[in-house]
Amino acid sequence: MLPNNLQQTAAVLAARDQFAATGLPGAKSEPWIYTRLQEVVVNPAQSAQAATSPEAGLILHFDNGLLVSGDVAWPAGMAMRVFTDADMADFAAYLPEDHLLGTLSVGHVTSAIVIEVEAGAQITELLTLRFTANVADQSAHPLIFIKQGAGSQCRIVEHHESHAALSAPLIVMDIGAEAVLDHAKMQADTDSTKHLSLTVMAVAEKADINSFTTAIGGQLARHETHMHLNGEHADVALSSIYMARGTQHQDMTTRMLHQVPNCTSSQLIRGVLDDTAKGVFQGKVVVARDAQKTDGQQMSRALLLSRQAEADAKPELEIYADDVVCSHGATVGELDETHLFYLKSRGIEADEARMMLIEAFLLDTLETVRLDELRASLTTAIQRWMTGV
Amino acid sequence: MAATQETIAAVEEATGQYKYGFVTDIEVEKAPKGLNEDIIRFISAKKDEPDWLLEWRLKAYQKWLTMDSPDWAKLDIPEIDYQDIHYYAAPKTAEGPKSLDEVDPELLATYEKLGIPLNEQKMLAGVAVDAVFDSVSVATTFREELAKAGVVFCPISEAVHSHPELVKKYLGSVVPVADNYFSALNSAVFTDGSFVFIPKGVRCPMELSTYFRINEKNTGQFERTLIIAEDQSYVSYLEGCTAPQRDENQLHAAVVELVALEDAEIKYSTVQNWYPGDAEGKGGIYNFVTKRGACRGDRAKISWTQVETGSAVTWKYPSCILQGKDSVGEFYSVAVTNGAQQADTGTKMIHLGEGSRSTIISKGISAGKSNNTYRGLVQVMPKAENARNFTQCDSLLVGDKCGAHTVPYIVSRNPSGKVEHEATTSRISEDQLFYCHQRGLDEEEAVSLIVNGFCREVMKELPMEFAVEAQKLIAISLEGSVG
Repeated sequence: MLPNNLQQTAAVLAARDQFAATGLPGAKSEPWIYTRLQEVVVNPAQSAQAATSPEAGLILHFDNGLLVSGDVAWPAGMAMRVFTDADMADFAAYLPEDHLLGTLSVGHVTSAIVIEVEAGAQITELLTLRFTANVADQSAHPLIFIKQGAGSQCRIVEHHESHAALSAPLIVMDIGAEAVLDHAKMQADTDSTKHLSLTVMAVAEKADINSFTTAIGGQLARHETHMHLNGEHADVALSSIYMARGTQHQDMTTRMLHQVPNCTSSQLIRGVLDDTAKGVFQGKVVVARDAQKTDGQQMSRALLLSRQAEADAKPELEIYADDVVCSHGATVGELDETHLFYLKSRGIEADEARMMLIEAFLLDTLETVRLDELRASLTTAIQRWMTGV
Repeated sequence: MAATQETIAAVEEATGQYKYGFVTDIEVEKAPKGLNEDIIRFISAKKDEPDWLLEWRLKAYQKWLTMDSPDWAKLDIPEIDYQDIHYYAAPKTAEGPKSLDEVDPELLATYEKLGIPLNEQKMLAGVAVDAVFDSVSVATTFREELAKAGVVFCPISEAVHSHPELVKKYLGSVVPVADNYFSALNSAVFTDGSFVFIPKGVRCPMELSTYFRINEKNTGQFERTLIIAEDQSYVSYLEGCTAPQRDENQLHAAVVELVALEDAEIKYSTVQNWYPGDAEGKGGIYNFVTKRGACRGDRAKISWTQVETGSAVTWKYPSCILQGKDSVGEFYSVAVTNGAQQADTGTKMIHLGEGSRSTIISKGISAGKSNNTYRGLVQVMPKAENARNFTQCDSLLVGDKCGAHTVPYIVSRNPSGKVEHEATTSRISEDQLFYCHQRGLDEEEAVSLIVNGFCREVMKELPMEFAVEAQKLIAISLEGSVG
């Protein structure tokens, strides 16, 4: 769903040129040191398949990167529109400069929509963004620009179930003062799909963000999240669970930018890796000179279930203010034999004991999810992953 | 070629009678500025080196030409003109001094000022000193006592002649020539350094110590140290550095290689307090050091302890390659930056052997306008069954214009390996300061006390005589950072 000329706007053309000029990151590119992009198929879908019939509820459905939902019954205070040229320039301004994922998807945009939440609107209905694809050699590049007004509240979930060469959604959320956002992402693309996403959240004062990612799909997936804390007393909680097996590759990359004083951020990351899967966590917390009284916490743990699995972590702190409390921790290890023994000695089968311990390992992260209605399906998804279904 | 002719002429001139005005008024013989194959041949000839070493140097130089200066560190380094540096300077003496009496008294006086224990009094302290003045070792004490134990402790230029088989076997075996830009440069132009060999089963009877100084203006120092500890041996090596004030930046690119065989232990301690430059960072030392130890044998242990307070720019990652089964690597570091200093320092622990263990304790203190980065890598390779790492990085910020950064890299390829990393960043709390004020300490004393407490875990790893000095050093380094 694009205005006819959007693909020809200056911002799109510039991004396309930039992407073509820079190409994929080389072996020495620091941001991609653990995730090598050997080959990325960029073949944006041009036109939608037959539009699906509108789904019940507040659902926006992107198929092959194109918006296919018909009319949606928008609740009062929430509305959607297609990008204008001005929106495109506005959107691009939020993206980090010369960022591979930014130029990739802006340059090859397949769909671009703005969702606006009016100031003060309390939207309790869950907005679902569904991303599907069924063409194996195509790529999807939807741009989604969410503008959440001051004092508003909204709840958003992304479901990624694509079968394509590449799914590369670009999401910018501008979250107004005192706004509350509950956000979740469920990524379960097929294991031949590459998933390269970039989510940028610009957070104003006293906003309250809770974002949760579960990543279990894709051949290679990179979930990059940039948080710009621009207003004082903002509170951000970012949690992720990634699980990979076979030859899957999961990459969680976060940048938490504390630009102003008195903000709080916390990150919990848990990874479970089996077979020859590889898991990557790169998390950077930057505290600017003026951002006094920052409280920035980050904890990443990875569990290796097989001898060939690999976990790489690079938690970074870059701190320029002196009156701050920042910490990060990272651990990598296997299931504790003594824990297994304890359970087995109480008559629990080895497989079941392992599952219990993995669930326990993920539990504290799962508990941070504020979208209560998702918790059950998240737990199911994790259990299904563990039983290999 | 004209340039080559010029160099040759300059080399000839330099080798003839030549006089300079020096701060310490000692005649110094030095190679002309610049770096090319002729300079390397000149250095090699000066050292009367065997052909294989000259070849090795030239190969390193060719490698270096193809390499780029690393830019991944969080450092802002002005471009270095490698052709504007003297690569060789030696205090001029008729013949090598046989005893202290023969050493130039001016030189001894300078050491005295720096508090280097070269003279008799220090014999009581049990310190054997291989003092390095600019690039050539001029005096070595306690050689005989060490020789009795079978320990070889001498300048590496001497070891090339006295123990060529050892030097040939181990030189460049831990830090390959082309490991990085600065190690390649060092391999091409290194002038001197220390060589230590501890034979099987010997516990070195005393702490070995060497003092590096940079004195000659515009003289890069390219020290090369090689320590080999055979099976079941033990050695503790102390390195301390001072340098007088200079206006121009001085380059230091040292390489230190440690080899620990079965059940051997090497403890390497450094106190580095080179001139950090003035408040704007002008004139300080550039310290680009490659230090690496290999635990080749089972149960071998290498322990690095460093107190880094000096230099304008520090780029230094003392590392351990834990090859042996149950081998142990340790890294204890205190890095203090003040003024406009920049430090990017940390360690690498490469776990290859089964049951290998490593501990990293890093304390970074930033004050003034400085930036202090911990950068470390912990890598558990597939065969490192039950490897264990614990890392703790704490940063302390003094003032609101400095920066503290932590960049740990963790790569785990074996599920039985356990890797833990913890990092915190904080400042001196008002409560702590208030408590000290209450007891009559002024601001500066209080900060010094608190910072020394913050570093205690590392300080206790230092040998006694260093620990006292290091505590004073930290207090001095933080002067002017408060109030």
